[in-house]
Amino acid sequence: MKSDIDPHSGRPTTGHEWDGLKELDTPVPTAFRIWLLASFGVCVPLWLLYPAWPYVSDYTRGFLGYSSRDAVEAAVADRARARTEALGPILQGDLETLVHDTALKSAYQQKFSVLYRDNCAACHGRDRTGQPGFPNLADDHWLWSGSPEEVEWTVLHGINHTSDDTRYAEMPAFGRDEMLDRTEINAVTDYLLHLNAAPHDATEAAIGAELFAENCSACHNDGAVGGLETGAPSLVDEAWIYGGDRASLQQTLIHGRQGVMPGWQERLSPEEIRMIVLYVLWANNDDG
Amino acid sequence: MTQQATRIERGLTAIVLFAVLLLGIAILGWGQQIGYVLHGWIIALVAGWGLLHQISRLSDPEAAIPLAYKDDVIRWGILACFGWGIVGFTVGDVLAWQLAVPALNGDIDLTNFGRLRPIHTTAVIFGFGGNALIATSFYVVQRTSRARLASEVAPWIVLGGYNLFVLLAVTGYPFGITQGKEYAEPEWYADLVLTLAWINYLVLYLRTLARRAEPHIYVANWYYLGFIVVIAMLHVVNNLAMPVSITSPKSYSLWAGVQDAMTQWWYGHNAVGFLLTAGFLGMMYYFLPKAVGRPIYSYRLSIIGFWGITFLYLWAGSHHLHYTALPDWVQYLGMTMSIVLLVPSWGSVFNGILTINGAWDKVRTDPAVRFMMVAVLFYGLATFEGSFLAIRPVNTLSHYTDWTVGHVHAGALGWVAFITFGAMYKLVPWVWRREGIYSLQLEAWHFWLALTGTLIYVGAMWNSGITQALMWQTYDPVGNFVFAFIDTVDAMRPYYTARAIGGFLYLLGALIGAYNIYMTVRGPRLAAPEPDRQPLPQPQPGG
Amino acid sequence: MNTHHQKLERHSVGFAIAILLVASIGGIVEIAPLFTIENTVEQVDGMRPYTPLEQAGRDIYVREGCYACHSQMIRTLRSDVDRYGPYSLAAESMYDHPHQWGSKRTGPDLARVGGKYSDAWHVAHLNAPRDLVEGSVMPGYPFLAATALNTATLPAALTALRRVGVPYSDAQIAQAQRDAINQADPDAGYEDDLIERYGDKVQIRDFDGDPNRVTEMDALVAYLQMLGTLATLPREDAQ
Ligand code: HEC
Ligand code: HEC
Ligand code: HEC
Ligand code: HEM
Ligand code: HEM
Ligand SMILES: [Ca+2]
Ligand SMILES: [Ca+2]
Ligand SMILES: [Cu+2]
Repeated sequence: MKSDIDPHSGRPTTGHEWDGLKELDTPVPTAFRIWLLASFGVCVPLWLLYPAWPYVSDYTRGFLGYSSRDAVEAAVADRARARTEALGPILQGDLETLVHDTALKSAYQQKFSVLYRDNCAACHGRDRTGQPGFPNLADDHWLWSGSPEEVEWTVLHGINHTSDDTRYAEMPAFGRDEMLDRTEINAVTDYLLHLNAAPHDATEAAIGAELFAENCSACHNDGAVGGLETGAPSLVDEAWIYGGDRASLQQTLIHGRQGVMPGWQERLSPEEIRMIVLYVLWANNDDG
Repeated sequence: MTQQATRIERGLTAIVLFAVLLLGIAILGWGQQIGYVLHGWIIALVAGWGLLHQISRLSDPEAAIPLAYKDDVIRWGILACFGWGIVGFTVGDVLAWQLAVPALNGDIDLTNFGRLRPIHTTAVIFGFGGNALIATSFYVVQRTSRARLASEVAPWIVLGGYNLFVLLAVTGYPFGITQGKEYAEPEWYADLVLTLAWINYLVLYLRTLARRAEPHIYVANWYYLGFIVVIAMLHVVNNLAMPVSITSPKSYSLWAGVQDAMTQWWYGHNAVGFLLTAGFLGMMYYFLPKAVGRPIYSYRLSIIGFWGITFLYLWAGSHHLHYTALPDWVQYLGMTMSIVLLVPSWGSVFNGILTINGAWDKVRTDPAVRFMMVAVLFYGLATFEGSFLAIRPVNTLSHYTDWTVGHVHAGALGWVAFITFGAMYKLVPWVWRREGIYSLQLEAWHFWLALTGTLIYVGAMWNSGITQALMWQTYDPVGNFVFAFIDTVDAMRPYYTARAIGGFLYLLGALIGAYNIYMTVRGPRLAAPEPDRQPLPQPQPGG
Repeated sequence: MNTHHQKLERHSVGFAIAILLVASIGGIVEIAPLFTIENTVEQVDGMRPYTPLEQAGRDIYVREGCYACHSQMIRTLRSDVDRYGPYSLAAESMYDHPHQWGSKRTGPDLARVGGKYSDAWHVAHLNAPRDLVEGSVMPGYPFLAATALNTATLPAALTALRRVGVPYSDAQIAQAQRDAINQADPDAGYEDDLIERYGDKVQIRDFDGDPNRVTEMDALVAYLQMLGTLATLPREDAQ
């Protein structure tokens, strides 16, 4: 093979030619060789220090004894400890007092909102005001008691959830289970519309009132003001979960309702739950 | 002798086509889903048509393989490349808009983001990239071997079978036909079609090289060969699956869980390494020196670059699985090998850029050279970024975010597509025997639109990716997160819009390019005979 | 070295074989040991093959390409664990053909989403994500609730899965269709059968809120509600 000299660079070619293409026989630059070796040079200590090479039934562990899992467990535990140290004292004690601690609220409202938004906002909305099927948490109308301890219990154990201590509440399916017939349901509906000062048929409502006393008061209380022990909502406070129009009411009465609120005990730590509960309750007080 | 060989080959091809025809008929007969039955028809029609064609030619007196280059199949490959390119870029931009304006999903099955996304990746990687590689490899292997492709039938089987595979893939996704493995989504029967086409490709390539009149194999062919061999290996291993029954397209991967994840990313990373990298380096090693009229800067660097990539890439797949349930040792091996991988990768960058030495004026005057030069720079950028992202602590930030998407498109838009456009602007006049490209001005427009689009796209994704990563990981001093997940979704929206605009510019450039190619093809034929048309030497038997 | 290479360059088949050899090393070293090193997939209590309804839901998850936006892999990183729960174990996807670990989090990780929300929420969310979550970029999938689940292919599906290594019993395969339909029907009085075949963590409910039909929505929600609930994690033991 005859190699010729490239006039521009003054370098010899390899002597081959393909379709007019040639190659220079330029040596590999020393810097490049050093870089290649240095790169392997970086690898070797890493292989020695960290888990790296497999053999049939095991692998080299490395001198640092490093494991991603151990590392993250330590980091998570550290953080949990640090947070407990920082927030534990603040979060301890009587929830009622904490709720009304305006300094605490202004310092932490924004911070605690993150946990709420990652876990609760999907149902109760970014601003805590709920959406169809999911109650408003910012309006001082409660299904269950509304005392801070009870709210915390709800968040811990949920409503109609699978956990053992969950709250249980069900609106029976009066229509589907044939406890009331269509005309009776219409009557009760008119009664509810009457209570809420919405357009209705007065004679029907009067019949509905009696039916309500027989069938509904046990849970929703006389005058439909709700039962804070049974989880049956007030039906006169305009804070509807599913809706107070005729169609929604009939839907509720015919098919029943059993809203599910997950319990968070397994997913969140007691501190985290406290933070969320405070954030929720702060929506209800305007002391600060 | 050759005559007989050709006849045997035709017979064999007819048998294979017959088997594929039976597969198609079985699918259309037993299939119970619309998309799947449609696929049965497509397979049966394509195979049936090919079979008829073969049978009708079986008894033809067959001349020996002519002593001239076979370019007709290349022309079809180029058209397929541009066709799929336009489809892929358009769907890519639709996806980009869907993320910016989610109502565009239409809330129906056929057009939702999850079903469209693989159309984009398949159309650009396999449709656009794959056809570019097949077409240019056919051209390069003939010219650098001074030999005609070793078969009259096989090139068509390769191109036809390959495009049938892409067609089955992208028409299947809207109907929900997918294996759910990223970049290997096509179902088992499409995988089979690709396997058959690919075996043909390998055999054809080796047989053509065996006919060569040059004693040595040119470096571009090393890369094309690497691409063909390694993709064959990856494709077969990663796609092993158990079909549920002939009535449905569904199959279940042979691998499960952590082993499936590792196999998948061994495949995925090396689809990058051998399709999106090695193949296109082959393209670079021919078209760049050809366009600038300079010798390759260093033969020795070519050797290190080639074998470095061939060895190291296959170790790097686990960098897609940092901090996952994949054992630590594999992560560290993948990370370290990815760091070393930068060296041979940049070896090719140096070899490419330094080859331009002595002809830098062409970068100014010839937009095709400009495309190729910028492509090499983006290749350098993408590989540097890749090795950086492969470092575990860096990957804690980038993984799962748009940073990865930015890296992908720096490589895909900046490297893969730029080198393709540059090569095509040269190749089209050559294979259609035209004076030159229809309009250099439009070519320059294409270049600037593509460059602007790429910079906007990649810039937007770097910003969004890093923003997203930092937001996910920011704690306040007490140890609470500062941002909720949904805050990061909000923060991405402006970047999604910017990306969609960048993508649109890119698409616009490609459309101009397609028009330019179309007008070139329609233009007048070259009058003067070229050296290209001299009869080729009679091939000698040998390696 | 150059002269050796000059020789290699003259033999196309030899060159191709050299490529194959050099290229196969990495895969062999990194993949083969994943089958032979025992602690690659941990021994974890609670893992079981998916019920036919869950598997059908998983097939829909794959079909819709949810992995394009959602990962199912909580990394060993503090910020992953704090946001999504204990890091994922390899064992948790041991019956996943294919895995759905994902590579992009346009939406949150779903590895432990089971039980985080109610069925009703999932149904409403999948029907129209932005009605529930302001600012979501997720597509709506209202067609799922409108499409009856095709259970006819389930026995064949479970058989195929058994062939690739999922330990389904003959009974599980034979009863696949009934198991699927009855898991979505709490009134069928079928609990004992399901628990016998799939253990007591199996969730039996009408998932989509339409007790009269078993839809694709039932299946997908059943799958989502199971995610992350099977394995007994080390951290749970500690508590
Ligand atoms: C899957 C949806 C969902 C999620 C997520 C959710 N909730 Fe609820 N939540 C509900 C539903 C539904 C109810 C009402 C239950 C009923 O109708 O009986 C409810 C009720 C409540 C109540 C009782 C309200 C009352 O009037 O007594 C509180 C307090 C509450 N949720 C707080 C939270 C908090 C705090 C979080 C996050 C940690 C949260 N919820 C997450 C669905 C959800
Ligand atoms: C067994 C107790 C019980 C009885 C009896 C009962 N309810 Fe209820 N009701 C509930 C509970 C619990 C809820 C809340 C369900 C939920 O939030 O998912 C509810 C919800 C409702 C709602 C929906 C409120 C909203 O905000 O959308 C209406 C309307 C209602 N009940 C009306 C009635 C009427 C009328 C009757 C009698 C015909 C009745 N209920 C009898 C327990 C009862
Ligand atoms: C275009 C991207 C995209 C696709 C495709 C997508 N999602 Fe989502 N997903 C999101 C985003 C963004 C969120 C966060 C906002 C929200 O909750 O809607 C989300 C949230 C979710 C959540 C709530 C997770 C949590 O912990 O809050 C679930 C469950 C979910 N998606 C399931 C699915 C399923 C199942 C599919 C496929 C059928 C799917 N997604 C397809 C983007 C997507
Ligand atoms: C030295 C070379 C390269 C290395 C070491 C490298 C490394 C990486 C890394 C670390 C990731 C991120 C994985 C993750 O966190 O999920 C990645 C993703 C990706 N890279 Fe590269 N890269 C290289 C070159 C390229 C080139 C040239 C392209 C050409 C297009 C490319 C295409 C891709 C693609 C498509 C993905 C996305 C995979 C996915 O779907 O998640 N890479 N690469
Ligand atoms: C007009 C030009 C293009 C646009 C607008 C575009 C847009 C997009 C979009 C929106 C996505 C989805 C990102 C996400 O899920 O968040 C995507 C993914 C992807 N695109 Fe493109 N794209 C373009 C061109 C290309 C080209 C030319 C290639 C390859 C040659 C390519 C390869 C890919 C790959 C591999 C992915 C998957 C990335 C990953 O999983 O990390 N794209 N593209
Ligand atoms: Ca496949
Ligand atoms: Ca149902
Ligand atoms: Cu990679």
